[in-house]
Amino acid sequence: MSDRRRINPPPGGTSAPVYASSTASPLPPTRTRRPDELRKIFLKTHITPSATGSAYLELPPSPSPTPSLSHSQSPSLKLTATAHLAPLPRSAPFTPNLLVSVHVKFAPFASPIRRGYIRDAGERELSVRVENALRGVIIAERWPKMGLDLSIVVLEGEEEGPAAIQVGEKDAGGAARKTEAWWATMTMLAGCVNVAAAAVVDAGIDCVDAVAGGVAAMVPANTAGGKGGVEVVLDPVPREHGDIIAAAVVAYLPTRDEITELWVRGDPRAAGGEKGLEDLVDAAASAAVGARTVILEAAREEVQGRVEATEGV
Amino acid sequence: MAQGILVAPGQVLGNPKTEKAGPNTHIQNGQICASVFGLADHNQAPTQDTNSTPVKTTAKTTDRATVSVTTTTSSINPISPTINSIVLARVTRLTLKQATVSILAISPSDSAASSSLAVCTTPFNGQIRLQDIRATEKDKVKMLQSFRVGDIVRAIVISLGDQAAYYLSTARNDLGVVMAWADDGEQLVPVSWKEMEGMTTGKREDRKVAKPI
Amino acid sequence: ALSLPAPIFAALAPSSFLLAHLTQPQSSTKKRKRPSVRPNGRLATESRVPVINTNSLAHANGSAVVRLGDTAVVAGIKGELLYAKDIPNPPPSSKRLREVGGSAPPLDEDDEAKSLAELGLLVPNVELSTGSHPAHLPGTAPTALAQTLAERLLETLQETRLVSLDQLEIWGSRSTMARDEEEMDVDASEEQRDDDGDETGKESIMAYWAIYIDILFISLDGNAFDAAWGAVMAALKNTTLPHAWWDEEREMILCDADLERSRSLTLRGLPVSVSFGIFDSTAEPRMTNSTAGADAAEANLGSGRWLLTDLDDSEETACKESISAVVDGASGALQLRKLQKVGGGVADLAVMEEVLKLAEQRWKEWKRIL
Repeated sequence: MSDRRRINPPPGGTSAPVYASSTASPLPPTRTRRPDELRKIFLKTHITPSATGSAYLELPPSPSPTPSLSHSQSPSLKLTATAHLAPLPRSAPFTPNLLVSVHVKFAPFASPIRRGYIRDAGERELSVRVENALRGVIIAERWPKMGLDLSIVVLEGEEEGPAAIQVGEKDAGGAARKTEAWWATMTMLAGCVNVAAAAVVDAGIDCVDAVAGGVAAMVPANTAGGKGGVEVVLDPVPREHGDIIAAAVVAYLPTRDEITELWVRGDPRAAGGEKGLEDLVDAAASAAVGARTVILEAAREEVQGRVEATEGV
Repeated sequence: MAQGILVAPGQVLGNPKTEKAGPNTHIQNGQICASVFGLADHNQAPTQDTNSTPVKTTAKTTDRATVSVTTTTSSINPISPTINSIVLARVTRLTLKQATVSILAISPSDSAASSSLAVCTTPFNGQIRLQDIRATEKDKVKMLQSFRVGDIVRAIVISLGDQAAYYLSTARNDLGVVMAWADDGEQLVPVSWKEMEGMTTGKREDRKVAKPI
Repeated sequence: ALSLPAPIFAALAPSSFLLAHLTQPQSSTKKRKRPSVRPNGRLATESRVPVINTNSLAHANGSAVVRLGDTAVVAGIKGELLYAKDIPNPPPSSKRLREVGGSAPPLDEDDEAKSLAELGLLVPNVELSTGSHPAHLPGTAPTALAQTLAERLLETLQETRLVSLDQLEIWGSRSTMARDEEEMDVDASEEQRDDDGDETGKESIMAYWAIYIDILFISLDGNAFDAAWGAVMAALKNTTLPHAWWDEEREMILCDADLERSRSLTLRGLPVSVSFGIFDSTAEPRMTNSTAGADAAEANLGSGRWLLTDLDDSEETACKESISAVVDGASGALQLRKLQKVGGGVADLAVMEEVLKLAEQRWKEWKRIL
């Protein structure tokens, strides 16, 4: 599809490279963290000075046992968010409230196979979910006739790179990769909520609480004794677990104990029993509490940096 | 500025029975909570401080102390015009009935002190209707004897207006044109309440001049 | 008169604010030949120091983050395959171009560049609507600036002949079933086997690498093109393409995931973009209280006109005339690869001389970090 406002690919169309089977198939990494241990979130606010608020979030890559093949490093989640508080365009009808709109955009180089610029269903779904997560948090009546444009850019997604596409086992590999990407979307949503929340805090927009996102997954228990049961892990990396039974993402307000967005995939009650769903959601909420600490810490660092800068003068 | 402790949105600051909820706070479950990340300020003796920053305004006289939060995270203060805000705006379009302006800077309260102004990252659309230009002899006011395109005016917000614009007024002595240029690019200086002139050319032009402050 | 805090003054009258700064006496002791200082604290021809980080993105074949003050861009390169069968009228290959007219004539770069442009193998695109600037809000189609930037990047890529065609060609032969590694190898060592004559004659181009260059602005504070071009250069220099060959059985191109067998792109020269603005205070509305008159004579272009380098956002709105030069000093003497001047009428040949002198200094600065 050609777009007059962009430089288009060759008219014949191009296809992503296909890799021949490599000799050494990389072993999937295994989880070395405790079930309730989160990965260290790197969060920096104020990356776009001309925006009302902005933030950059990065999750560390999971340590790969074999160095990734075509590329020298394993991927990690990298997100940026900007919040612009601006008057609504003339075409918008009068509103006594702040209109929040969220745009999640994948960079073309964010995934193993290049993405185009046309907005796809995945981006739309994430945008709507982040918008839901924030809508109940922002005190909208403080800003009549205004719009808050939140833009989230996915610079890099977590799913593993081209080593997974292999001739011969193409279908199996493709399916595995798809499942991995399917579960990875949930971590991405939590990341999007967190980076957006950090940008909103940085912007100084009135909120009832600092919202944060968290993920938890139900996986087969990894105990040597082999009870054959299930366990709930916080902040899962799909690659580290061969099989994920169910996963939940929440956007959570700790001071009010409210959930503004909940997304569950898989059936936690089938394997985890009556309390399966509750356990999973509680675990996701506690992951969110951990993320909230990081968001507030980033804001504190920004303030301290600024106070020191003004005192230095 | 360094006073107070850092608080997060949702954090309880006090009880509405003993304190008053000030800017950047809200009431939840009968408690005053912070709405932004910043420094909490329990103001014991409210004073009318004209040099206050846009977000840190003090309360009217009351025996209760006011608790407010000052945002310190953002370098760009989130700001929008509210009723009685004083604004600086550039005239962008004139008709016989109204002047369309682009609001470039806002001061939150009715204080003309330029130190409390904050720059808008995105300009707001404003409108000055013919009847809102002067306070007296409204029927004799002519648009082209009041403003020209390119002038910078000081005005007060009288209404949030409609979807297209905020409604502004210059019907006060301290409001009106503060900066203007002649056709040849020379800046004009005020010579009376209704005229400005070029320093070198001596050419006079009609304006609704703001009293210099 | 009306006294305003600096940020308000800057918002109301950007050009007067710039002039006031450039002509502001720095100290009370009157010194002659005092240099003009801009509102951002830089001297008239002082540029922001570029900062580069490369290859931090795992899914890209090459990537770079470039910062110029508050302008920050991310460039990501991804290679995809364009099969020869999908090209309706294939232009001559690099080998054909080399063979024309004798045993070892120098490759005609013009013809090669033409082939490369016809194939459209370099695909740069620019995204500004990432919230990088209040004027480019998310969710909108590419703005005029984004489109212009992408077009200029493509033009510059083509005119500097940065990437040679032979690196993007993947050769193979349909007739030979035996897969001799040596013969299938698509390396930069094509030239040596050129002389073998017969064997290479059977080979044809099976596919090309199409190079997608995607530039995302994280933050925009002026001088978008220099930053974007710097990011393109840094990312391309760090780009590796996997070893690829034609697989007869599957009738497709396969790639080797082995990092050791991949190869880096080789670039021709090191072109660098250096942009300037000309601030002509005589064409702007004047302020009565400015002391500009006397000091303006000392402007670096004389009589109230300044040549400024590496403009920030507010300076770009105040400067009506801009010059952009792409220069390359990789082969010794500085070569001018591209020169563009937009608006205004101040710049004459003497100004252009000055521009080239400054561009050379700036080229050295970029070379150190690229």
